[in-house]
Amino acid sequence: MKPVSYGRLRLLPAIIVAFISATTVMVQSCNDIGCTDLRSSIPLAGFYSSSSSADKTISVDSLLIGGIGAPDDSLLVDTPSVTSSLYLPFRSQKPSTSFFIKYVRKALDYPQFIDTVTFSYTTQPYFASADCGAMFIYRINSIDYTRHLIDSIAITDSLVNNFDMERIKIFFRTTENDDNDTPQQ
Amino acid sequence: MSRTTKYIIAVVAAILFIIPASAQRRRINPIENPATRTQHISNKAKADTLDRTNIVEKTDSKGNIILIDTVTGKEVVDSTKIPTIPPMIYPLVNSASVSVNLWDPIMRVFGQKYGLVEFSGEFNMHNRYIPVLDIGFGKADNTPDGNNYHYRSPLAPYFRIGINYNFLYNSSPDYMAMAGLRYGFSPFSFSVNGTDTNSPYWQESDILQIPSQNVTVGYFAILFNLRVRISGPIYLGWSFSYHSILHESKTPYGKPWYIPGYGTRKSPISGAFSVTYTLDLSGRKKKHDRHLPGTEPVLPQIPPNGTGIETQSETQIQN
Repeated sequence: MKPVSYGRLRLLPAIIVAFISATTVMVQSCNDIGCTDLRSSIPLAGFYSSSSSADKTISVDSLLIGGIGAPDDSLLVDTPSVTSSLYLPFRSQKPSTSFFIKYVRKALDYPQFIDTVTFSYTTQPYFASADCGAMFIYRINSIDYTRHLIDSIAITDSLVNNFDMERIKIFFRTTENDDNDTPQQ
Repeated sequence: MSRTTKYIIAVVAAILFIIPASAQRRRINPIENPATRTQHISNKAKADTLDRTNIVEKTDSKGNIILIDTVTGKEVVDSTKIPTIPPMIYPLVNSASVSVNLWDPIMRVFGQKYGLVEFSGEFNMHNRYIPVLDIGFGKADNTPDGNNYHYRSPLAPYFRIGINYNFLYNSSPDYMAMAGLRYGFSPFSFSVNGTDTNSPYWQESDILQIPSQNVTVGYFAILFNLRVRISGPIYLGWSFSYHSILHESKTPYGKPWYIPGYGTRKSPISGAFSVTYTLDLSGRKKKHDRHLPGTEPVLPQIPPNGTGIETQSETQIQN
């Protein structure tokens, strides 16, 4: 029996060219997504008031925050800043990392009011993706902190990877209504 | 002649008379014969026959032609207008093919850091249904710019099984437009070495090494494929596929970037460029031998009288 012939097959060369071009473009475009998360594992800490809802952060000023033992006593937060959250980078070569929080308001600017927070963790290498690369991830095992002006600290997720999400909640003791987001320590 | 003898003669005479008479009655008065059966069918056929002089045509919602007898009101679907499904003209055992996918080797020339080569075996049924088995090997070795790690996945096999459907199944096999479905899996390993991370705040760097991780990944793929005969049994084919991971082994150090046979994890689309050798199993003659029996073309020949060369380009049909 004679095979059926289709007139539309005359368009086959054009179809093939379009097909190859479309395939190349699609494959290439799908390979250029990039890193949509962080390129390292840094936990994000949010500031909250112990006397208000835990769902709402507060903005805090007059703070100095830095790592204990950081080179050149560099700071993560300096005085003029008003912040409601903060990235706390861990040291991959150490089993723990400590930070200090110094309050520079006039009534609180004394060394005995400086709070310290120490995170103990285990470290593990991790390959996140081709774009975000390889990094260390951390599993927080325990937290030690002073309670001069810190009321409590909560960990919402003990695994710290490169997903940009808040994992630490620091609750400060505040003296005023916190609804205006301008607490005073 | 005794009385006994007379009785015997009378009985024999009666038998000789009765048997032919009864036989003659069967022949004369049959209960049913081919003629009566034919007459019966003819009557029925006559009852189902419409008088064409009183017919009007209408089309129903399904596209069928309805013949309506305007005298009796009888409606009949015109069966001669019902479209029929074209039969498959190629045999069940049509052909077998082997292919080599040259996409990855070509892309590696242009800087691709993964993939190697792939072979495929196909069995063509009716030029329509084509089961496929793919076997290939893949590896990756990549140190991307702007990142400070070295990803390595040593040579590993992968397998895919599935089927293609040729939309041009009743056309010439020189052209094939196919859609296909595949399930693939690959057992392989990967490692990330020589990586260091820097913490700008702590001004520290550290070397991290992810040891070799054994992983098995399974996935499915939907593909579209075009194939064109280039010369003789050699075909060229182009395809692109969408794929997604179905299952994979969990590792504590992260997921692999490259999966043999699948490509990179983040890309759901991949392409292929194949060269195919097809072996005809249908028993059909090749294209240049396709002549009716006894219609073989006559080659040019010198006539016996040597007056010139006579060429017959027309085929001669032998009766």
